[in-house]
Parts: sequence; C-alpha cells; structure tokens
Amino acid sequence: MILFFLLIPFSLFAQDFSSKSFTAGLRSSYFTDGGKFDNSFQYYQPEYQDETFGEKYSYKRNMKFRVFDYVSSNEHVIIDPLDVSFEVLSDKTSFQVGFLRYRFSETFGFQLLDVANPRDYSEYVFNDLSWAKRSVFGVNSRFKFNSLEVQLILTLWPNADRLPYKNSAFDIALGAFDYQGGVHQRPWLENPEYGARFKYLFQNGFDLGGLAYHHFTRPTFNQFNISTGQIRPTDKMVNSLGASGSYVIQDWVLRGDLLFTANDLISGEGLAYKEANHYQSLLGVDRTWGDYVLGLQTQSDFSNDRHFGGVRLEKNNLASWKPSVMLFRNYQAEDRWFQIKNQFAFSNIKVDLIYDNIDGGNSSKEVFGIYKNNDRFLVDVSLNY
Amino acid sequence: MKTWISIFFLSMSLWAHGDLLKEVDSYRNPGESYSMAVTIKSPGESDPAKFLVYLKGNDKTLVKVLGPKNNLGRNMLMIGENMWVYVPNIRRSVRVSLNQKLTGEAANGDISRMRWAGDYKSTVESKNSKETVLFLEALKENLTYAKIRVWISSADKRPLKADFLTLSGKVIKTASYEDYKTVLGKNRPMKIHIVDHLKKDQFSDIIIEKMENKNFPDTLFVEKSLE
Repeated sequence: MILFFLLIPFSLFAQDFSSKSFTAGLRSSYFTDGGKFDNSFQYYQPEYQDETFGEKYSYKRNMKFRVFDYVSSNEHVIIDPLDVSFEVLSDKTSFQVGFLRYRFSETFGFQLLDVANPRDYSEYVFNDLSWAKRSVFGVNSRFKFNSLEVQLILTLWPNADRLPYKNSAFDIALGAFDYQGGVHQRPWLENPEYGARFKYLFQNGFDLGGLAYHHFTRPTFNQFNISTGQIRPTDKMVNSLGASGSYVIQDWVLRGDLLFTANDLISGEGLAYKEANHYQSLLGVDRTWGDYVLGLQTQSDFSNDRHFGGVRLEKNNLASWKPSVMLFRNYQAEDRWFQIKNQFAFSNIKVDLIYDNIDGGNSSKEVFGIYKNNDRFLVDVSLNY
Repeated sequence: MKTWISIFFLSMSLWAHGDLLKEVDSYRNPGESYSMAVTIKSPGESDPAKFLVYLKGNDKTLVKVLGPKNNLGRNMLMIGENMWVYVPNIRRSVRVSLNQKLTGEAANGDISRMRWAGDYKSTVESKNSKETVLFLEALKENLTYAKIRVWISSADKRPLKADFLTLSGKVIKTASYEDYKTVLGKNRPMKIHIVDHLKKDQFSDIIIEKMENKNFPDTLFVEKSLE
C-alpha cells in the first residue's frame, strides 16, 4: 500500500529531469573453505528517478529495487526496496519519506558511525556499501541555514541485518547448532529509531558534524541458548553520540569520526557478547591526484581493544577498467583482510572480479577469528538497459 | 588627503571592474539559478562525457554525470570552494579540489564555477577598439585557477579567449569561447575549446547543449543529492 502511494504517477508536474534503467545480473562467490560456488544468485534492479523544480517547492521521486533470486540455495526470492521515496524540497527545508538508505558516515573497511542503516552480512563483511547497506522505512527531514545543515530522522520500520545463511560458507554456527540466518524480521512501528545529526561547514573548509541516535545495536549479535541449542538474533535498543569532521589541506583531506554507544553489545569470546559502554574512533587521510584516489585510515574499538589500519588505492578515468586494492588489518593482532577489485565496463555489460583474502586469530580482540587464510573470489556479470 | 583620493579612485576602479566582470559573466550565466546540459569531447575518448549541471549563485553547484556508463553516479557537489565527488560502489563522497581533472583537459571548476566576479579582482591590461585584455587575480584560495588573462570584445564585453595561469604566472591552459548563439535572450558561447599547454596538442571541447533558468532550492546542494 505504501509503495503504491509512493509510486503514484506525478503527472500533474512536468519533470525537469528523469532517468530510468534496468539491470539484470548474476553474482556468485567462491569461498575456498566451502570448496564450491556459494551464495550465487540472479538479481534484477529496476531504477527510476525524477526531479521537478518549482518556484517554491521542488519534488524528487526515487524508485530503486533489487530482487534477489537464489541459485545456490532454497532461499526465497527477496525484493529489497533500496530507495523508494518521495521528497519535497523548499529553499531551507526538505522532507523525504519512504524506504531509504541514510547517509551516515561512509568509509571503507568497517563502517563506524553508520548506526542508522542495517546491513547485508550474507557474505560476511566483504560486500561494499552499494551491496551491504539495507534500507529502512522512515522520514528524513533536513533544515539548511547557510552553512549549517540539521537532519532529523524518524525510522518507523528499522528493518534488520541480513545474516549469513544457514549452511552457507559464512554460517557462524558452522552447521553445529540450530542457527536461523537470513533476513531477521522486525515489526513495523514497534520500536522506532530516531535521532538528529548536524553538520557545519566553516569558511576555511573545515566540516564538523555531530549526531545523537536511538537505535538497535548494530551489527546484530546472536544469542546462544545452551538448553535448546538455538542461536537467535538479539534485539536491543541503545543510544549513541557521535562526531565527525573533515578538513582539506591542498590535495590532502583529513577526516575523523568518534562514536560512543551507552550499554552497547560488544564481542566476547567466540559467539558470546557482553554489555558495556562502547567507544570507537576513526582517523583517515585521503589524497586525490590525477586519476588516483588514496585512502589511509586507522580505526579503533577501545572497548574490545581492536585497532585497525587500512589503505585503499583506486584508479579512475580508465575507459573500461576500474581497479582498486585495499589492505585492512589489526596491527596488534592477527586480523587481516586484503581485497583486489576489478570492475570492467563495456557498453551495457559490467563485470566485477573481486578477490578477498581474510585471516584472523581466536582472541576476543579479533573479528575474523573463524577464518584462517581463506580466499574468496566473486564474479558479478550484469547487463544494463 | 592624497591617500583618501587614491583610496576613492581605487575603490571606484574595483567597483567598475567588478561590474565589468559581471557583464562578462552574464554571457556564460543566463541567471542566478540555472541548469545546463554539457558534453565534453576529448580526442582519444570514444564516449564523450555528459553532465547535467545545476548552478545557484557562485558558490553552489551540483553536477550529475550522465555518461559514459562506467562513470555514471560519479556526481559532484560544490559548496563555496569545497568540492565532493561521489564514488558509487563504496557509496562514499570524497573531497576533491576545483582544479583537479574532470575529464580530458577540463578541470572540475571549468563546469562547476562559471562566474569570475566575486572570485577575482580584475585590472585592465590593454584596450583597443576591438579587444580589451583583463588580468584577473584570485581573491580566494582553492579556486580552479590562481590567475586568468581574459580577452573580451571592447564593443559588447563578451569573452573571446582566456589564458589560465599558475600563481607564478605560467600559462597552463587556454580557453576560447566559440559558437555564439542566442539562448535565453542573449548571445552566448556554446562551446569552450580548452587547450592544455602542459601536454602537447591535447584539447577538450566543452559543448553546452542546453540551458534553462530554474529556481533550485538550497536544500538541493547537500551531500545527499550526490547519490
């Protein structure tokens, strides 16, 4: 019903800009631990967007779905509304309602400040944000006063993470327990998430932001019931405060994020978790020169004593090939993640070839502990109309 | 007394040249808030780069990439002298500078910052019945070019040619304003031919396919619009 209202043709207004496309693809990953192509699916992605600019009010409509049709398992077809929304903009305010993926601090490696969006962990942490970020249903309002931007968010359906599938290569229970996996459903309106974010751009280019958000713990932790042998996702609401900033010095961009979550769930040994105040930080440097974008960052989770360093290099402006390489590792423990990504685009055909290597130790400091020098190859072939 | 007279004449001169720059700018900018569809052609690039540019004043621009397909989504936002480019696969915007390469020999600022008035102070270097040469020096940091030498028509003040210079005065690019056509009530250059002096024989043509006056809200010029 909501979708229907959002998609009512806006024929009263002449559109100033519109675009539409349809993508069909096949995505398949091979994880050496499993010894077979795993998590293979066909996907279809219809997209439509239009904009209408009026004297007083402007309007934007977006419709972007992704349909997952699994080949490698008996999982049901999933229709994910990535962005199905209607937005009204006036000079100083805007209101957007619908299925949204909020902008909340995007970086590479682990995402720190993004407490507002659930994730797709069906391929663990490997997928980049365009695949991993799931939508929620909410109202996103923004107010702009010169260099100050204030964002108020009310999420009526917080949605939830998509967990690694049972018996897949990424099954956290390794097939030993009654693990549910897949999409973790959350009811509408029962536990709304809400919060505010502000951002101020100073004259010298320093960009300062802050946030306060009431939300479900992210990522989702699983609870192990010893008596039943069941592993089920948890649902706990927490409060977070965060700050972010970026500053440009000639060709260098310095950026940083801080996040505090009160009584959050944090990792313990194995599948266990505990409740504690959670302090996290990220400091990064980006440099763009010519066709290259280089990112360096250090990321710390003080509550778990985890400290990661990361480097990512991407080359753009090649006619049909976009390579990038990333190394992300805990410099006090064994955790390591290395990724080489190649994206090829030939007219309407796009091919992604991605190689990941992941390794971890078994202490509570480590995240990748269940993987020992494992390789994952991903092939994604898509046709765009 | 002499000092006050000098200050008065200097102020008048700056004011007059500011007005002159606004007149020069009015050929490339049909209004305070407008959109333009732009194609950039460079030799050796099989698919021309296509953009839809939304501009408001001199400090707000949103650039949507419409082609080629492998660059779709690499949209750009300019606020003041700050610029962000969106990297779609990682859903992240990266801060860049106005003088960084957009495509071919064109820099980001060549299509996102179209007004010189307010950004540069100008002095008249030479003038004859046919052409006037203005020398522009940046009033702000992080603009696309530190200095510009502009040739304008003495008769109607339309821009003819511009040399873009580094801070030390070295000419890095030359732009010629060509293909004047009557669009939105005025004769406007619909093609900017940019030659790069640092790379021999390299050039790009910025072709303005369409211009429309539109009232864009301030709320359009935020990072969210990059997606």
